[in-house]
Amino acid sequence: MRIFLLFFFITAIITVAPNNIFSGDNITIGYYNPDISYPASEIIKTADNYYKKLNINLSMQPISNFDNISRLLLDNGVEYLIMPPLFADYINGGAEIKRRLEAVDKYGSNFYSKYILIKKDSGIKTVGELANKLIASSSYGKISEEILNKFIFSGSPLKTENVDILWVKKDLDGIFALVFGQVEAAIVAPASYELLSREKPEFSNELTIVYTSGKIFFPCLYSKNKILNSIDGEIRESFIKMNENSIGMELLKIFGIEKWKQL
Amino acid sequence: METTMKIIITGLLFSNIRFSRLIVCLLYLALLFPIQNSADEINSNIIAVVKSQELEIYNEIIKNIELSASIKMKNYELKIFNGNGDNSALEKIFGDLSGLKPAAIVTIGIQASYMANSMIEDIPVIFCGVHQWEKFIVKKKNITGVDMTIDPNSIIKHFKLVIPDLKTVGVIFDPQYNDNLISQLEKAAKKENIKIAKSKVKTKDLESISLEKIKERFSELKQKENIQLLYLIPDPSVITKENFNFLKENCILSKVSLFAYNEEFVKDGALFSLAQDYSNAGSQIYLILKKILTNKINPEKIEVVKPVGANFTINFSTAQKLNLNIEFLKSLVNKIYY
Repeated sequence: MRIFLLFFFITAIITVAPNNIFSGDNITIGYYNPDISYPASEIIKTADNYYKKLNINLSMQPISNFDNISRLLLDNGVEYLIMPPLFADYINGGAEIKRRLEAVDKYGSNFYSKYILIKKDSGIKTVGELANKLIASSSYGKISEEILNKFIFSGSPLKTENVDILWVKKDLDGIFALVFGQVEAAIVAPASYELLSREKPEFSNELTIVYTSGKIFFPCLYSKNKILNSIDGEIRESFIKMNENSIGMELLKIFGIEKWKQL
Repeated sequence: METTMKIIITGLLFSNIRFSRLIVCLLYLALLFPIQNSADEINSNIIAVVKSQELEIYNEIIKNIELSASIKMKNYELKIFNGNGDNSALEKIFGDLSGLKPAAIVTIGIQASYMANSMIEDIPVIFCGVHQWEKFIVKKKNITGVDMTIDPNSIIKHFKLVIPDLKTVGVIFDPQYNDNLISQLEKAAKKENIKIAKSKVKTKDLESISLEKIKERFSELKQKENIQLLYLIPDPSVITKENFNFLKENCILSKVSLFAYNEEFVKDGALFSLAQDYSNAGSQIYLILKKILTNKINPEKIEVVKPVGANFTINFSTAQKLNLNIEFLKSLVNKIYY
């Protein structure tokens, strides 16, 4: 009878306990933000340092291609996701996520705008003059054109139907393509352009902003609808308190934000 | 063929009518069934992509062509062929494609590009994945492509990103391998007021420059030219394990930045490298395909384009040893080593 009760007790615990207690699996946070171009190794290393210090078994998985996100969520490749909200509507295949935290910059703002840069000596005065021209932009996988039309070109006469887009891997590729005359304009995140203007003004001196896009919200922390781990509260806390130590600050710098806050 | 049959059958049906009426009828038929020219024989909805062999970087190019084409070229079907590094397999592929007549052929890698260049005359060919393409490809009227040699202007701009006050770059080389590259580099450097201090060493075929010679040349470049950066170019006579180790250590001792053409050297202690980035080539190929297939521009009139972007890798431990403050580059490079 005792053996039966013990067996029953252990089986019940295994059945109802959160998955990660017995599997010892590391919890993974996917990170997708094509507007920030830190190398994947740097993101992984800094996140590892931060979570080791907090003694949380968690790792960051940079995702370079948006088209992979839905599959990663469905296959339990990632349980949380950091991603600009503009992409949330495009998660498909039945992968359901919910927004948990949002990010703000040093002014407390939760959005930014992207720039369309041209060469100062191009003779172009308005963004409309870029129609039928070649523009460099970061790629967002299969939804690239939809994203450009909805979030970057809206409010301008441009549409992906009336411009040619050269999809590039990182903002610096687009900026150099512009400097060397390979494209007529480049769509870049403010972080890259401002960094270059501050550190290497000789590079940005020959460029100018011809158009500023509408609001693009900073990345949010998402989780799957059904949380499988028992330390969700700790993970959430680790984000809220990220600005309280130097390694956390480094991670925030990589994300291009000042801090995380409750919704 | 189908059209020709229709014309013959219709002609037979009208064979009993008078000659003048026949002419009118034939003109009418001509309007109904325009006589096909050779271009109509082309399988105009197929784009053939031929890769020289199975390589991840080649697949990345294909993935990006597919991505652009799936958005903007929905009427076209991409058919992928793999030569598996075998010349006879490639010969068969291009023989079959001559018969299939796709709207365009994209070749990836030197083997496929070279063979298409010699076998295909009447179908537009867009090559990519070929370094210093002028050495291997003859620019015929049906050929254009994406060069894989990094623009020397881009190399010089990257130098300036890392070393803003750069005045002199040293390079040790054998003219038989990279004379053209060096002259292009000199032109680009001149625009930025940078001097290329050349140290030419002539070797016999496949002979390496001895360590003693490398020591002597490096010392000359440092003392006489006061170089701030040494450019390690893809020169088989210079690059040996022994020579690289000497240059790596002595560059740090002399506070000279060592720039290489491949990130493996950065992993091993060189300061930074720029290498071909194949991911942007797919988008460049799509834009050429669009010019040819949609805008009906003859490939002859489309220049071979320089690659956009490059894999920029940096070693921060080496930067620290050289007392370089390049922390800001962390968000601009593709890869960092420590």
